[in-house]
Amino acid sequence: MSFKVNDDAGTSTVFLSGEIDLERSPAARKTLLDTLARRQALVVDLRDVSYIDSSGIASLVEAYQKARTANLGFTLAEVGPPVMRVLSLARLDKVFPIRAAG
Amino acid sequence: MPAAPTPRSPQRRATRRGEDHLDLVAELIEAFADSEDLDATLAAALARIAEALDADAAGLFLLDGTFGDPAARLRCRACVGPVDIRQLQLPADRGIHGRALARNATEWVADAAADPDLLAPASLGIDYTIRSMICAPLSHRDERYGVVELLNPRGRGRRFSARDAELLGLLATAAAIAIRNARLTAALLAQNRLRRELELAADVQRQLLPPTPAGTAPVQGLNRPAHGVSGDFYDALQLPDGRIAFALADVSGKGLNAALIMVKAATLFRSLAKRVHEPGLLLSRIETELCETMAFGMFVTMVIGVYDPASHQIRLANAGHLPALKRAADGGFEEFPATDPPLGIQCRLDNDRYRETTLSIAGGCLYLYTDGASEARDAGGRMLGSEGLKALIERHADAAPGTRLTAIADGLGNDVRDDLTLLVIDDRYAAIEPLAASVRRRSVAELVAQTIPAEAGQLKIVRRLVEAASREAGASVEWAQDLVLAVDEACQNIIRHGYGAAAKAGAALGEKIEFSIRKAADGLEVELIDYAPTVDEQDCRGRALDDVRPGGLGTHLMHALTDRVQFRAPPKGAGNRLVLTKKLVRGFGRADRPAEAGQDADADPGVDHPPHDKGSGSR
Repeated sequence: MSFKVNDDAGTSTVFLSGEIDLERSPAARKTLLDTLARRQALVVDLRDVSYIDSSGIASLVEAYQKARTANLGFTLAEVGPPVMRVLSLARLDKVFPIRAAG
Repeated sequence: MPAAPTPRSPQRRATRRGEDHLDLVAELIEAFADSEDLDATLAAALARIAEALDADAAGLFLLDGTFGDPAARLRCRACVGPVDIRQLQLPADRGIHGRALARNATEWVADAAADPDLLAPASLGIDYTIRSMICAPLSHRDERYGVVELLNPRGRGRRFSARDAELLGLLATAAAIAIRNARLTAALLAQNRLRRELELAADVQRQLLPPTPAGTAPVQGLNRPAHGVSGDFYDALQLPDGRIAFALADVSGKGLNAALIMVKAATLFRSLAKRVHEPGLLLSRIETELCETMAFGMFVTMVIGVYDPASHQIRLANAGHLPALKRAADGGFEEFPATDPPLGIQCRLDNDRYRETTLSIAGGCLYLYTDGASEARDAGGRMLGSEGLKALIERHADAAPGTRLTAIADGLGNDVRDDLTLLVIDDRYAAIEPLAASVRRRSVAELVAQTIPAEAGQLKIVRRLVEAASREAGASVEWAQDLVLAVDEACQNIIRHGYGAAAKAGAALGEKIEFSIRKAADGLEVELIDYAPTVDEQDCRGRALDDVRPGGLGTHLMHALTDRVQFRAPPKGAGNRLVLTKKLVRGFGRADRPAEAGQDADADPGVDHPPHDKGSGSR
């Protein structure tokens, strides 16, 4: 199970997709952390995520913390309603830099 | 039986004589901390102390009764020496041990013969002479548990020294703390058992309430207990001739006593109402039966009525309860206050029956309620009273009876301190809903029952099942999504923290989750039974008793997305039984709860144990 990653000038975009649950969040986490290791700003595109649970959120939090420590940009993009609902319940909608859909 | 404390390590700090005993203190503290059988540990400890201080005899006594009560006795629980004095009882207010207890300080009696307080063993029929003794209280602050005493140091003419007395005092303090901890633990376990029993009692009570009829049925009831068990109840049953008998009652007092009386009253109504169709007579029959078992000073206020949809009339008898409230077809209100005292007061009644009133509700309604409704308070802390209740009834007058009661209860606010019970008889709906359907057969509507292995790969199946059941129950997409996430998180907790399978690829044999979804009175109930270690007992030592929730974001979501997260008594052999309840209200839409959700709001989501974290997550 892998996720698509796009490398652009100075920015890597990880396209998470499907259900990021207890089964798949370890793979999502690995992709996020591996991508951060390239020391580029990270954009996590969530347009194709249909479901996310606390383990998926925990992976995003961990990647965000790593990015901040390494002084790298971190942005969530294309956040759909199901993901946004969980982010707001977790009070993380104000914590993560979120790029407005569009 | 635990082994006697044994010397622990070679790292002795024997610099001067006397400091040797520091090892003994450390050793005993450790033995007490590990103790599972306090009596055995105390006996072993006493033997070690007697040996270390070279005493000929030693005894440990625990206080039987309250300190200060002349009837209190010190009962021997362990002894060392030539005479077995176990079972020996001493008065707690005399002798040198009495002095140690009273002063809450170690008594050092170098020369026992010179001490006038000495209780000579001969006076107790024991053939032994005390030359020298020390006696230390087993106490924690001001709380006395007993005493420990050492008698006659070995060796001709030797007497106990002040240093010996000091050391015994130190050891007694360690033992006292162990006794205190053991008692606290026992109390916590008992409390925990009681709590489970209360939950079971609450279950039993809920089953006693009649099933929820269709929302348009003319007779509807609602019960919201303030705590687990309730002292309120309502019931309604259809009589063979088409009339409907109904009752609403409130038992004085709170807690288990009130709940048990409520169960009895409810059972009596159910069985007697089938034969006795006159409310006044029915009340007096119930009172006669209730009084046989009811404790002095308890009473029950109760309204019983029989509604005849054909004549639009209600025969009503009110035993000490709040007024029945009629809302006429033209919107006017009329109250029907109690005409006789509550059940249990045992007054003499005219004709051995409670007085009846007959009223017409053609095109109108009759409301019964408990003080949870009239004593509810608004946001400003003002009691709503019957006027506030009337205003709420007025506001929701056009809603179907089932929806209306829910709306009224919601309108009474969250600050309902008492059990809240409402009953409505709505004559307008008698024609709409066929009466046969108004009181449906009681059946547990189980939508799903499935056992799954406790592993991450199974969660998508769980999600599909929850989603399907939610849709089947008429829920909106959003409502279903919320319940799906809550159940997913609950399963994850079981997999990750219960079975501790975070690092494992799959579930071991027997690591399963029994998963079922049922229709509850006003929503869906999802039940998860696992065979992991029981959550509460583990928590019992280090955490507050009420805090059975695992930490972290997952738990926060479970609470935020459902109306209730509750551990109930698990079936035999199982570890935990978790029930998530989510209400379906407002036209089966989403019961919109803002994303506030209480104390968990401050939980740092970052500290939730992610799946790759092999750290032992606490549940």
